[in-house]
Amino acid sequence: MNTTRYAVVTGADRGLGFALTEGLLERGWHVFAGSYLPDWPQLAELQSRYPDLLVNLPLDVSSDSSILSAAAAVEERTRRIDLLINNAGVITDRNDDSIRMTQDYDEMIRLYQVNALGPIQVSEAFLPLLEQGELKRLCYVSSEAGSIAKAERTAWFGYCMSKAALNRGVHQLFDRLRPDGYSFRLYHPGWLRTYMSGTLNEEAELEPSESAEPALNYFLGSTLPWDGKPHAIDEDQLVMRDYQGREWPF
Amino acid sequence: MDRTAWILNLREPFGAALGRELVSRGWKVLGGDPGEQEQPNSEAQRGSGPAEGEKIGENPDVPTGSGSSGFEDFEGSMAFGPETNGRSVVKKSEAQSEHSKGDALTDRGDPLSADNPLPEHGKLKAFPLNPDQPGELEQAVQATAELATHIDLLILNTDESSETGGRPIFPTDAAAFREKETGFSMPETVESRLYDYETYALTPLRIVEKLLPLMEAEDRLKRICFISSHEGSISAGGASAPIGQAMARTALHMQAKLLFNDLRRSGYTFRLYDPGLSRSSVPSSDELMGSIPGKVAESARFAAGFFTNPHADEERLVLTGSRGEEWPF
Ligand SMILES: NC(=O)c1ccc[n+]([C@@H]2O[C@H](COP(=O)([O-])OP(=O)(O)OC[C@H]3O[C@@H](n4cnc5c(N)ncnc54)[C@H](OP(=O)(O)O)[C@@H]3O)[C@@H](O)[C@H]2O)c1
Repeated sequence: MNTTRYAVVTGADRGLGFALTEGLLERGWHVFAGSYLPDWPQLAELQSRYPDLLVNLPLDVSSDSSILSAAAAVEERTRRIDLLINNAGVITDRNDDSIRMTQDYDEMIRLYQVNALGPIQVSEAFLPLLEQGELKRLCYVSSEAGSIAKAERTAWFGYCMSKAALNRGVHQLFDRLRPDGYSFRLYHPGWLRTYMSGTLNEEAELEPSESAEPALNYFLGSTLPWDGKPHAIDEDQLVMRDYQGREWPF
Repeated sequence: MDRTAWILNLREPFGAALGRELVSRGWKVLGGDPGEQEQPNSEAQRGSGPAEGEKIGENPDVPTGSGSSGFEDFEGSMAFGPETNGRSVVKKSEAQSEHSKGDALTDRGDPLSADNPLPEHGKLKAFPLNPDQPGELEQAVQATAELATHIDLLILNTDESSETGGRPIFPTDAAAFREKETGFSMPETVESRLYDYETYALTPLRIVEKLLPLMEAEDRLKRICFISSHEGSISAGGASAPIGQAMARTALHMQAKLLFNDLRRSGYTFRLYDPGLSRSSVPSSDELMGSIPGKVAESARFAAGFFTNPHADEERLVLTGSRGEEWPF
């Protein structure tokens, strides 16, 4: 069995994506980190700490050509990847616009391209590399905001539609690829002190690392702890779980 | 009191069948459709009765709106509400007042209305509406406001028939790979997936935003109905639909839920309906295709009852199929 393990993480410059990248490196993984913000210093600093394990790549998940270039760049360095974490995501300051206000459809399209189509296009582009991997694991950072059954918001059209659509796209990939040995994780990270709104949200509940830790246990493991005991994850069911292991209905 | 419904994609087979069904129940039906041409001075205020010329939904294979099936009284009545689901019998006086409204429209030069009054029937009128064309939505809204002081029933019928037509296709290597993986003969691309999002999710929202002011009156029905498909059910939608289309339908379900959360506080009610006509519902062999017009008519008849009757539980939004079955989100 091959012990070198390769992962790709999107939206890795800061926030949860950075914390996930750092956590994988600490666990000895080789990581291809998708960078969207070349001037943000954190990934470069991490690269100097892990020069043999970390490769930073430009990756805009809303651009098919950028996705294909990133996949080609990864393919130049490895013939397989084991883990793909689709983390990149965006929000808008037009969230609170109710239907009685003029909606910003261009913003809705932007959110859909990054949050919903991006992860699907990235997954499809990396499938040939994942096909050669051992773990064949596809992970998606979604959100409780994508749960239609639990939705209590009265606006947030662009963001909620994008995350619900993402969940649907992931389920389709699951239906198609599970028979070929792929396994899936769909994750709601909690309310994070990150940069989604453009500046650091200090009011939120969790540091990115506090969500990245349970996320990596879930993404990499095959069990979930509850009642103090590990329970095998049913790989033939796709569910969305949060950082506390709780299941969110679709 | 006259009742007005507005249907998106009124010429698409299901939209047309539903329009005719509502007309036969005494509703005035307006709507937009990309296939509708601007017809200055000759716009037909078309009814469902026999008349010359092109008539919306008058596909002879779609026996809708005939009023003769005899079993429509209970279809769509999952509501168990106090109202019956029977076709409303429009009183003669009401019919005449409908007719005189028609005459007002006839002044614009509509020969059909003059020659073919529609006693006991409502009226049906389509406007050109291609959301890709700048300004057409605004024009359709303006034309709607000229013909109706209010809309009671807004029906967002996303266009099934455009499923395979009109998509911009720009094949890429990734698309070729996808096609190999998924077996779809038409490769999906980012462009086609964005087109799906526009068609199935954004266009309905654009229309709700624009037409909501016409629905606000206190004493009206205030009902918004979304036509969708179980293909958008995250867990139960299966894998046969193109991903972009399935995702966009899920987005529509979320949209319906958010609007439901907001607008029910102001007295709106909602329906989310799967007519059972999507590719994954209807077998595609030529032999079975013959039954599709009948299926469209039957599903439209059920929908007409489902959309116009009260429901036992208006506090829940459920994706409901054409046999009354519930689909999970
Ligand atoms: N924050 C929360 O409370 C919360 C709650 C639920 C779910 N989530 C989800 O968690 C994930 C991570 O978000 P986060 O909180 O860590 O936010 P974040 O700090 O903004 O991190 C997201 C990263 O993705 C990048 N990105 C934006 N557009 C991109 C594109 N087109 N291609 C590639 N990367 C792109 C961002 O760059 P920029 O900084 O330049 O935008 C950023 O580096 C997202 O999917 C989000 O929807 C977050």
